[in-house]
Amino acid sequence: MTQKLKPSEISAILKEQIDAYESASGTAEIGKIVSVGDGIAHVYGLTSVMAGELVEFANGLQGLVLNLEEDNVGVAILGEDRQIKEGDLVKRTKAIAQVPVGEVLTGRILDALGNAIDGGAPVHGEEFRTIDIKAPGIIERTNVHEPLQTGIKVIDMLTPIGRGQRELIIGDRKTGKTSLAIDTIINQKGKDVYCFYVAIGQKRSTVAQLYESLKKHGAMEYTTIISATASESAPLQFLAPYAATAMAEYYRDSGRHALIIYDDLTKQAQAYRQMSLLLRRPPGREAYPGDIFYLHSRLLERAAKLRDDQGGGSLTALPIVETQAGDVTSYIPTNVISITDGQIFLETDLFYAGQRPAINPGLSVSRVGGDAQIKAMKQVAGTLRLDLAQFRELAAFAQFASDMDAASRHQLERGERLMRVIRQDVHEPLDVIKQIVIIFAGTNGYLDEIPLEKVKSYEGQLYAALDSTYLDFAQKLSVELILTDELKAELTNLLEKFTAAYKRAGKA
Amino acid sequence: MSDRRIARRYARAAYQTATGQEQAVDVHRDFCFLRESLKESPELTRYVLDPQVLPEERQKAFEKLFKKRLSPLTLQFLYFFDRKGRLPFLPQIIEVFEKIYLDERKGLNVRISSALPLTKPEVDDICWRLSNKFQRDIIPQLNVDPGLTGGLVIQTDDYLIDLSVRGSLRRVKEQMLSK
Repeated sequence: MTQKLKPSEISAILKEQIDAYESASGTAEIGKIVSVGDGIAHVYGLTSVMAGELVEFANGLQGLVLNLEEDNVGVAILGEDRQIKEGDLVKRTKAIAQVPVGEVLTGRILDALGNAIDGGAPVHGEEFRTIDIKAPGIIERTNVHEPLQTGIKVIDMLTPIGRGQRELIIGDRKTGKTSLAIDTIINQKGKDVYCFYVAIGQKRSTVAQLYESLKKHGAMEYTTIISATASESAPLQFLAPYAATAMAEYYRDSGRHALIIYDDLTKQAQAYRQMSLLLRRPPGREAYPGDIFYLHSRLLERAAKLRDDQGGGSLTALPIVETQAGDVTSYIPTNVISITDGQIFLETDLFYAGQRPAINPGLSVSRVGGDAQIKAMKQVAGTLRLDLAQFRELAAFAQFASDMDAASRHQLERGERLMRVIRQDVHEPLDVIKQIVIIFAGTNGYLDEIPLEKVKSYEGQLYAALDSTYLDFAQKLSVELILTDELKAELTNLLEKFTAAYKRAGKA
Repeated sequence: MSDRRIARRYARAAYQTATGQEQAVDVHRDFCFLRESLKESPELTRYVLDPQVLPEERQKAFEKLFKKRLSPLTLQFLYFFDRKGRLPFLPQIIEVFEKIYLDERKGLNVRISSALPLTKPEVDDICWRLSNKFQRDIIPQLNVDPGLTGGLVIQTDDYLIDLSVRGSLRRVKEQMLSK
């Protein structure tokens, strides 16, 4: 039965609101628009306006004060600039840009100002937060020591990411950068990590597609998408990462964990370059303004692991940067590499050779992640990096040598299998216990006699066995999280039995 | 160089020259007249801004047009601006000149819009209150705007005081929608 609203109820509510209405004279400080175009307005007047303050245009649109000059003020228009004319009045609001934050944001798609753009109800956050605040100080922080499992074998093994870390994902177009980020979000299910995905300068269709795949994997239950697509004005694309970080900081500061993905910072830098040039700030290298480094450093500094007496919350950042033809020495990539605590390199060649995720294990590093890796993982991964490095060297050499000794051939075969093992399908993050078991199998030679093309099926059956026959072992390891001598013996025994059974089944 | 900066330099020079010759009041009056003429006649504005017209030609035209209406000093300013190629900035120069002139005399231009025409005592009362607020002599410019429905809107260069019914309704609407 639908309940009808009584007119008297509405009147009562309205009366209440009118009673509460404070009759203010509405004195406002004003300025006049001298010129407007390309999302930037120059305003005469507004003598006492602050840098970073919001101003209001005649049609209700808001603007962000960026330049304070001798006789005019440069304002970035947050929205469509078509209805704004020369000579229009601009009002001060005496407020700094803020966005709503809180649990209500989860599962939503928002714009850079925190407005819902998914067709749902307007967002009423628990509180408002200033979008551009200073990062936590040294005293409030502690070292990164808890792992953030991405569910991607090669990352969790070789470049482990800790909660509170900033790990750059870098690569050419179409090398699977976004997929890595999405897999990481999917893998956070049930781990109490709130995820934020910031789409900057992307296609709307891409964002819609991404939303669908996150929803399909049940990841929208703990994820918020902040979108400033390519059709949005440059100021909004510039603001989106800051706004999203303010939303994510709500969790960090309340003792919980959050993960934020900036996809991608190259586009944000380009939007900022556009604004800066229109504001007539002097251009520097690649025409970027002088403060482009600060633009990214102040954003990424906000990712932090807080001390226990500060609540112990964390904000992990995975910025994405796109390179042109693998050139990591251009301006933005070098800047962001130097800011972050490590990087994951994706390569086109590997990608087209079928090695997916196309991560280059030699060039990818994690500067703090080692502390954040669980003990068992460290034990297993220790030899993996070395094995892979030796394999790469040998493989390069083997191209010229016609025949080689048994030891070298053996090493080559092991390397090929390890390269197979670190392949992984998209949107299929793997549990950490299974990762440990398969890498242990690879580095200890259990795969050596399995034909290359069978490695995948071996893997699949091993995972299935860990969920059924060997469930005991999996549970024991997930409690201990370290390969004690006893567990190691058990694992060896398990793998011997499984491999023998697999081979028998293959022959039969 | 930005338009404003050019305008400020020329306006300041003009103001200092005018005060030096004790003709500031006349020049200000002339400039106000010029401003109104430019506003009313688009042809004149186009002629003033046209870069194809030679300064000598324009000088002759100005003489015919303004000889009787403007003081010799103001005319001299016009010729000077033209020779320097700064005549296109005339509207801005006039604006800044007026600001300097009023600042020196502690005057303040105030635009008062109301839904109905105001009576003399009403205007006097408003001016008295405003002069207390801004500590300036108020020079009111009255304007009737029925769109306000009721009340007043008072506007100076830097402030807008909205006491109109339209503004109040808008604020009530904003407050209700934000709930």
